[in-house]
Amino acid sequence: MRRILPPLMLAGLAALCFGEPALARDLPPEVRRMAERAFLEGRLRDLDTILAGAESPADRFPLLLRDVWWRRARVPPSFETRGPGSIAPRLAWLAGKEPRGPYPASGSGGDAYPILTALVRDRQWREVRGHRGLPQQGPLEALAESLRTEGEDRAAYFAGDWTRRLMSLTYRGPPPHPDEVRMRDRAERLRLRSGRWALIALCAFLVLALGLRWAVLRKARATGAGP
Amino acid sequence: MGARAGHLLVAGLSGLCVIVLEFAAVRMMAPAFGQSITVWSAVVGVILVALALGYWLGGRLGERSRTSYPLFRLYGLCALWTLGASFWGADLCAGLIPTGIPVDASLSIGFGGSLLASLVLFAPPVLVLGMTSPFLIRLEAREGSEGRATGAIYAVGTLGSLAACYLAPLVLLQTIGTSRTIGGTAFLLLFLSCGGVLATRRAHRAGGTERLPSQEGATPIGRAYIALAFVTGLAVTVLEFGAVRFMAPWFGQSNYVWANVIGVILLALAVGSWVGGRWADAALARGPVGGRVFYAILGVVGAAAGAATLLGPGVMEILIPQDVESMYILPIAFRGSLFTTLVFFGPALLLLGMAPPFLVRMALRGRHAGRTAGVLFAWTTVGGLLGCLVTAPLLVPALGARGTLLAAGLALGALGAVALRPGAWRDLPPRRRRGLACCSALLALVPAVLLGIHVAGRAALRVQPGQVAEVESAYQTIRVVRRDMHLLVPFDEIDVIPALLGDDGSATTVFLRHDEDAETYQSVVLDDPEQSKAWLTGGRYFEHMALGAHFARPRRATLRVLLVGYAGGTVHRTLRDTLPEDVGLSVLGVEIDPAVIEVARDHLRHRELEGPGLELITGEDARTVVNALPPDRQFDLVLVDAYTRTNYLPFQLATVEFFTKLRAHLATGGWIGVNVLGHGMKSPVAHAVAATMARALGSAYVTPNPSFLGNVILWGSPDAATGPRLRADAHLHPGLEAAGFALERLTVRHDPQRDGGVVLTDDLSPSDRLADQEFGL
Repeated sequence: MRRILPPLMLAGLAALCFGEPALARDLPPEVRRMAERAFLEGRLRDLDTILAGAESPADRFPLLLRDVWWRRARVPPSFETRGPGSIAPRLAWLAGKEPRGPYPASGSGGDAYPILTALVRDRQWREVRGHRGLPQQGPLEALAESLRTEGEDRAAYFAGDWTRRLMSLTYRGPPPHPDEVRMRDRAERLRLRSGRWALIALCAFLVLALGLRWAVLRKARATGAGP
Repeated sequence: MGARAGHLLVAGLSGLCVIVLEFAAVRMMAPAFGQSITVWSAVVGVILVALALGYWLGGRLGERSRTSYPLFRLYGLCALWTLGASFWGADLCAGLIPTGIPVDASLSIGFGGSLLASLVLFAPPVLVLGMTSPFLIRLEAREGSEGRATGAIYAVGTLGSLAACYLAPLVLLQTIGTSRTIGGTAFLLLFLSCGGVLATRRAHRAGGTERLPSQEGATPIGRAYIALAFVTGLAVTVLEFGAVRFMAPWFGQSNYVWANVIGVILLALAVGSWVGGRWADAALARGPVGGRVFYAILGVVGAAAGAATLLGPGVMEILIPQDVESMYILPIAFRGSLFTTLVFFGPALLLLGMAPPFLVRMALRGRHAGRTAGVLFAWTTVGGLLGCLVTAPLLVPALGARGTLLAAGLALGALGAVALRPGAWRDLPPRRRRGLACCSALLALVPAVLLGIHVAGRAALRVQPGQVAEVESAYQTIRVVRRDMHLLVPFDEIDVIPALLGDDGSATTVFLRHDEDAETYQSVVLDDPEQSKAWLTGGRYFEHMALGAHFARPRRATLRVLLVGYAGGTVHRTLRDTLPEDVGLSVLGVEIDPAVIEVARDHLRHRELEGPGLELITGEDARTVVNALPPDRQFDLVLVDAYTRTNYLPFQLATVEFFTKLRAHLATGGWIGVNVLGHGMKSPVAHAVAATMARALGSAYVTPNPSFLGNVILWGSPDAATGPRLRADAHLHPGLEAAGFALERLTVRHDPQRDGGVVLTDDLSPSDRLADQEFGL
């Protein structure tokens, strides 16, 4: 027992020293995905609840991003601009002044919120390029495809289809709603009908005018007062 | 080219120049003094008075002259004056804008300014142009064919005016701008002057011109003829304005509907005067008895106007049903209005067009055709001026469009009936005399009975489902409609904000529609105040505009907002209901039509918005108000939601100069938002306004409206380095979440290089043309 006590004590000490990071546990992937979907669908106030248990700077980053850049706070929160390797470049980016450069890739350790990254890049992309400057394939396209393969149809719809549909808004753009088709057909029929009526009226008007003129001339000739 | 053809050409081109100058004058005044009905009346009034004076002077000058030299020399002066107006007109108008005095005091000066500017810039050339017709009639008239000469000159002049009615507002002002249009008119006048002088001189040398004897000391014209000329001028204008307002609930008041009405009316007048000239010569050759034909004409016109009001609504309802979507309505309205005007007003106006030659022929004593025509044309124009001044501002609000047409019909019918009383037919057998007397009485009876029914019943012009009130104001027909409407969410399949939906997803909604001919609206309120506070406008575009309060940064505890196009106060209400409790709201609202506010008070609970936080200016154009703002008046948020005649942004409220003026009144961090209706993100009008904002403010952003795909909101701020950013701690009202989502997820910066868009200026703004193209014309 005496022999194993020192190693046990050493191990305990080591655990105390090096176990600190383990206390700030990462959020489960489902919670991160939940936060991303709230961002995706515009439920930004829900983030406070969803990320209430977030401990690491990387997990709390969406809140910081929301308050500093996406929806700025009247008094922007102060934050440590240096952080773990995974979000270090992004913290530096957030600390910069407007207009900021392109949203950086995550540092070592991978991207905890890839959907959020795509959303931010998409927004930056829209705010830099004009409407016609946006090509068909945007930052959200690849994301939408990957979400669809994962069975996340609703999120994929938001990320890709919905955005694309709204960005190409037009009354005559495909695919039209059945009611719209019905209404358009009816309008076309009405247009043709009223056009025909207008043409008939115009002809009748001209005939009336010419008839009057003819009658006047005839009468004038008959009375000898005309030309 | 023979002398007669030359004279007709000059008559036609002078008619064209008058109308082009009239349109250009209104356009030139708008950036300085707005387009309120008082300014419009001032400009048109000056032009018509100048025209009337010109007719009178032209008659006198023509009688004293032996050739057409004096007229063409005056044309030269007129050309130089017009050229000066094209160069310095805008500067003169800008110099007359009052500054440094309170807004209320400044606004009344705007009326005087427009009067003075139009008097200085446009009255002299129009006066000279007015001299043309009587001068040419004097040169053309031969004994026994004065009516024909008058009819021909009048008809060709009217055809020139007809061409100008299409050319000026739809082509010239939209493509080359105001200054160049006026400059072009000056060159046309210069060409006429030089050509006329040379042609006259050449003909004189060749001995081909008839040097007419000077005719001084003409006998005076009977007062009865002067009165008849006045009445016919009045009748034409009242029928013209009345017809537009009468048809507006079905076809709106788009440029093309106006062009149809004016075009058909002028065509009818031209044909009428041409035919009338020959008829007058033939009828009056048999003695004064032929004058009865003219009185019969007046009676028939009166009865026709009455019949139009009786039958018109039913026909228009067939031509344009209630539920046609706004995007598809313009082509139908174009053809429908053409048909209705041709059928219901064309024949009456054709007959009325016979009046000038008939009157000249009837009033003529000796060889004084020029002077007689001058005096009678002058009084016709004075009648027209009175018609302009009273129809829209007084008659339509008091009697309604239908009542106005009936009153005009009654007046004409009664005039015809009185003139055709049994005594006037002494030379006929008693039986025919009695029959004709009965017919005459009927002519007046038709509109009289209809007017009585209209005044007693005061029924709405057009009734839409759920309609609870209709008010005809000086500017438009305002309709209050109450319906159970489903609240709008971005897409049916996605409930972004489930809280927005009630149990059945609908709420009783009150809409304020102006001249809307389709399912569109200008203001809206949910009937239940609690629902209104919770759901705001049910997902409509007003929420997108109110969102500006959440990224425009107030320096003080109160958000200062300028609302251009206040209407029924929907944006104001949405702002009030969505601002955090610790932020106050101070609104300066501008609404051109005071009747809208009155209706909103009665039906949209507007009184609860009134108080110290609202300064409301009505009856004035927003441009005039912005021009008159004291330099230290600052706003955190400026929202422009102004539309005229349903489809058009008032051009003076969407130009570089306007946005530059607004910029001067924008507090640091402030934003300007503009509502544009069209084809959504692909709308040429939206692109043009965005390009204009980008020019004036440095950048512009376009936010689509997922609830209504044709609508976009444009945002611009001189201080913004990026797009609009909502504040995280603003605690967005749940009803604004959908709008916030669109702002954050869909807003696009407008890049003029890539997206294009015509930059609109005070001088050249094709916004009307773009809107017409966008809506299918």
